[in-house]
Amino acid sequence: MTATSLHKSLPFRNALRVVKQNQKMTIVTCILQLLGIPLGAAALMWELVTESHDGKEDFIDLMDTGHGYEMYIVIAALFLGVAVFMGMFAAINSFIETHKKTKVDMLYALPLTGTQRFFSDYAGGCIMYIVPYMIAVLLGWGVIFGLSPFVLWENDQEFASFGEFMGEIVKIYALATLGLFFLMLLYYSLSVLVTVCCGTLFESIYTNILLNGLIPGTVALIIALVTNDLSFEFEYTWQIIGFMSPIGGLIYLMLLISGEITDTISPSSYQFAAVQTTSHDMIPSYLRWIFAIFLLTAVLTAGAWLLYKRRKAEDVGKPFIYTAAYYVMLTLATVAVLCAMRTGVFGPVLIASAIGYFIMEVIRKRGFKRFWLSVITYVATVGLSIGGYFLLTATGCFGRVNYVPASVGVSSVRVEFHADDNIYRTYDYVLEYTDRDVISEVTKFHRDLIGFQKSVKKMHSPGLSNRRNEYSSNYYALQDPLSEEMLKERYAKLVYTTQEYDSNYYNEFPSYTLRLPVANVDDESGEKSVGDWLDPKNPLPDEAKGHYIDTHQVRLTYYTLTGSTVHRVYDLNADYWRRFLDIVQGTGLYAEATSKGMSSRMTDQYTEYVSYLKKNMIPGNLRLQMTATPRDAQDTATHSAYIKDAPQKFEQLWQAYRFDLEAMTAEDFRTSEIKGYLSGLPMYSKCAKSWELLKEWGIEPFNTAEWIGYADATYDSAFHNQWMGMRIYAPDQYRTASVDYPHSTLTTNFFKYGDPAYEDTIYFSYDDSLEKTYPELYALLSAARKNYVTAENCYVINFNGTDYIIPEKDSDLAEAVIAKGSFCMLDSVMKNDPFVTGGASVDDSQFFSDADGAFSEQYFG
Amino acid sequence: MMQLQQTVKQFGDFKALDCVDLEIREGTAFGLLGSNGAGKSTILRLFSGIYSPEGGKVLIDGENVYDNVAAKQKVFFINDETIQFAGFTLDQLKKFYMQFYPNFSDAIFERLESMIQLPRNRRISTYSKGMKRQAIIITAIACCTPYLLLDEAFDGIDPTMRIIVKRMLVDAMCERNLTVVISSHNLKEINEMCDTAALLHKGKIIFNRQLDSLKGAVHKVQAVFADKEREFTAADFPGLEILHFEKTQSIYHIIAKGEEDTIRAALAPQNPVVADMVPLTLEEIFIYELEGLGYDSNVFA
Repeated sequence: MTATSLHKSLPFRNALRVVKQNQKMTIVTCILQLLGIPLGAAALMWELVTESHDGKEDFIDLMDTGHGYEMYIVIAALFLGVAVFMGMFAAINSFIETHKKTKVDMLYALPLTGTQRFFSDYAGGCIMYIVPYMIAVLLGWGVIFGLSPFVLWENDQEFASFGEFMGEIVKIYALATLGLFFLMLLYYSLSVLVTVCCGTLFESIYTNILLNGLIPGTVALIIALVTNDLSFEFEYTWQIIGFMSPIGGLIYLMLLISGEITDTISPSSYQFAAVQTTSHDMIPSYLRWIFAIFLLTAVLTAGAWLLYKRRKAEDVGKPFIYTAAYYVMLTLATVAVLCAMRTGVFGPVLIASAIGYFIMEVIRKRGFKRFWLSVITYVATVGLSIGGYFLLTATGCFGRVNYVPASVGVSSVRVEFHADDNIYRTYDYVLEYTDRDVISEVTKFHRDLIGFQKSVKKMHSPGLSNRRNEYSSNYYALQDPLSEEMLKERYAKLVYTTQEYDSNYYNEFPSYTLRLPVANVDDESGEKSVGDWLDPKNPLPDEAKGHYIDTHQVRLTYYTLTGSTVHRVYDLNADYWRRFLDIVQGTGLYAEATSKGMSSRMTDQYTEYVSYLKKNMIPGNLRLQMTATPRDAQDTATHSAYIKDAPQKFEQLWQAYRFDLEAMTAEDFRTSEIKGYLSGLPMYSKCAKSWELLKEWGIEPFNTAEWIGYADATYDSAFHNQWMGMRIYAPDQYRTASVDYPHSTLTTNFFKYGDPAYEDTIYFSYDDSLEKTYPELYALLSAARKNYVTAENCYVINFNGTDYIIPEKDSDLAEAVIAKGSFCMLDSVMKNDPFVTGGASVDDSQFFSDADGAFSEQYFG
Repeated sequence: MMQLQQTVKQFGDFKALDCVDLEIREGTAFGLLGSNGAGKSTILRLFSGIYSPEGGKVLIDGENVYDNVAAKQKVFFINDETIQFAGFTLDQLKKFYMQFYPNFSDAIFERLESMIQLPRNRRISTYSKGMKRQAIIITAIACCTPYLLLDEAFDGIDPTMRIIVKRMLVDAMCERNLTVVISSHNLKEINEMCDTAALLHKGKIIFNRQLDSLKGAVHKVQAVFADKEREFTAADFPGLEILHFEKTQSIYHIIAKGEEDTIRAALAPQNPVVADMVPLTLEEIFIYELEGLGYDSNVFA
């Protein structure tokens, strides 16, 4: 062998040296890998062999068999997870000279250049980490193809779509294993980079673990800041993090793959997936992702190589060779922690971050040497982080928060919303529009919303300090006075279907409680004063916070012509929610999605019913059970109907429903009466075709007597009595801790919000004539604002279980109601009259009289 | 030839080598002496390409050694530890180094191994300290590199084996003009093995010369002067570079640099009655040289 050829083969020899010296670890990795993928593949295939596939429509169904093979798949996933995690140790062990002093002389003295040593170490680690995985993947292929004839043989009669299913399995397996391969390379490269930056085993391990968590964590928080999307479940966040970190990438891969699975089994997956009207082909996304991951891997590897070359042999033993890496990590951690300021617990968060920081410093410095420097760096880091945070929030992430792409540059817009009242409950909508008009409307709506946000922010900014931290930075922008529209919706139409009312329905009558303004009494002079004890910074009782949000979350995602994606999340108030629905409800996509939802739900009910019949050996008289809840105020019972030959009728019904929805205008949606619910979906009075069809099958609205399977309807309805309830809480200026109520047994409790002294229940008849009958009450309700932010002290009413603010300018309306109520005792309390309050033991309820619109009062006990 | 040219090596704030110049010619047995932390091991690691210098050059046959495969293949470095080889058997150790050194001689390895008879299939971690060092020394010699660097290499080897190992090294030097650089605190060993030595202290070379000339360059004088009433001091001998000056009763003990004649000539003006010249051992030279630099063993006296 010539010297030149030997020179060339030296790196290869060193790579082999790495593998040989880490034989044990390689063997362990091999075992873990073999217990991972091949075992999982075997369990999956055996499932297909042994399970009857009658009625199985999809991949997920096949997995759901109850044979217990899922357990093997879980075990396989665990083994695979551990094997993948070993990448960190592969990196650490292959670059042993970076942290083990005794190996430095031996390995650095070998006739290799730094570059040769780096890449041969890298390759050696790769071999011991990746090769076992590749062997496992190949074995997995063997298992899949080896067992597939058995699957075919076992299911040839029942499982006609064998080829399709096998194709699906092969596709998913190929995509998953290839994706994981690149992810493992990324993870390994990141671990190498970290190992090169560290000089001890301890630092290498914990920095690796922390960075793997901190990169996706911090980025997720920053994304949340930009998009106002705090739901980290949402795929958009992972679409970004998935390109930046191994863990993010893994979740992204899983999302991609599961998205692919979902596409094949929709619509029966409605419980888990959104009602989607479109799905993007995942292959281009997948390839883009693979390319990005590969690119990132290359960048990390190149970075590790450059740092390795700069690194000196004598650096081994130092905790961090490149302290920049350490401070990047600490900054990431601090930013992550400070982003948690959104939770409103800044103080504790700061203390927690300081403790974490100083622990890290003590570990790094192996003691308290020059600890003052650590304090300075912490202050600087926190200062930078806070500065960065406020810079981002103040500038709206340099304008990105309020960025709305021009409609001409948008190829499609995806809107996602979940409505939380009865009309839309259980249905998430994901609608993607390519229609230019809709895109234009959505962008216009979006801009208006941002303009509104800005104006509200400007209007209310002085009093927002406390509230801002409770939710999101954009929270305040959405807190505006309720419109007349909202009042109408709340009290005129939707009142019968609100969740709050339902939850109270069988429990108790809504109550009205009045908390009165009270006077402060000077002990010496006996003078009374009001408002001396006011804390104007705290406009609402603490307990009342969180009760004022009744918004609807909407996610907007624009796919632009340039290939970029713009995603934002908003909590809409009633007006904007209405506007949003006006855009969406009139579209064919909405009708299609809604009718699909109905179809999937009916199919699901039908499948359950069939399964029930089969299990109970009942002959196949298949019928569909339909549940409907008429809106009739006189009867809220559940009714069930059974339809013969249901499967044939599904198609007819949901097509009719779709037709009806498409025919409805936005105005129709607003005004049409909901006659009942079909599989949870509202049956509007305007759904003529649907009702016609139901009538053919013997189902008519309100004609409950003819319904089969009539459920228990023995409950009396609260609606029947038409009693509504309301409480009023006085503003804070009337709160004081030192007021003395002579002779009153109520004193001690009087000032506690959660346990008010007066539990005065007022019942009043509620109907359309409220405005005429009780103008004060109507005026008060009209002024009530569910979404409202103010620095002023205000009355708060609790109406029907929900808190509303009475703006300060309308305080007189609340006081008018109180006055109208003629609460002589409470009035006396206001006047501090001991003759009335002294020693009174009251359980008093006041009634609005129906007769003359005046309040009457009754005392008990 | 191995050369350091104005070489600086720093570890943080600590300057391990401060503009050091050094030349070691082929076929030399070169001894590196010095106090603890003087920079001996640093020089060996620089020559073996482990460390890169912060300043100056480190050359092997005219080539920079750091990150240079060809130059590094000419050097084999045995450090003062053996733990790095613990996982190997002797055969594995041989195979490991065979891969990286093109001139590795299996015949030499077998011949040397037969002389010391080490258990070949046992892990080196089960060897005694001396056996471990023997194993790595025979492997190093078998690599047939022109330069062999030994850092406390004979530590732990029993006297008999020490002789055998030294003979192996001497044979290699005779057979293929091997250059050996030995760093050791055992001055007797350096005395026996080396023809040239350098003394380092605080990152600087104090001297660098052949041992024979070194021994003739420092003398211990026991002198009695005619004027017994007078207390002589080192200042009374202006032409003499005195490392140590001490009086016991009427006898003066002087350690001075220079040839015998020069020293005698310098003493002559003070009219010595007796002036006996005693040659110094290497250990005495080491001690008195460093004492002259303030590295004094009498610190507890």
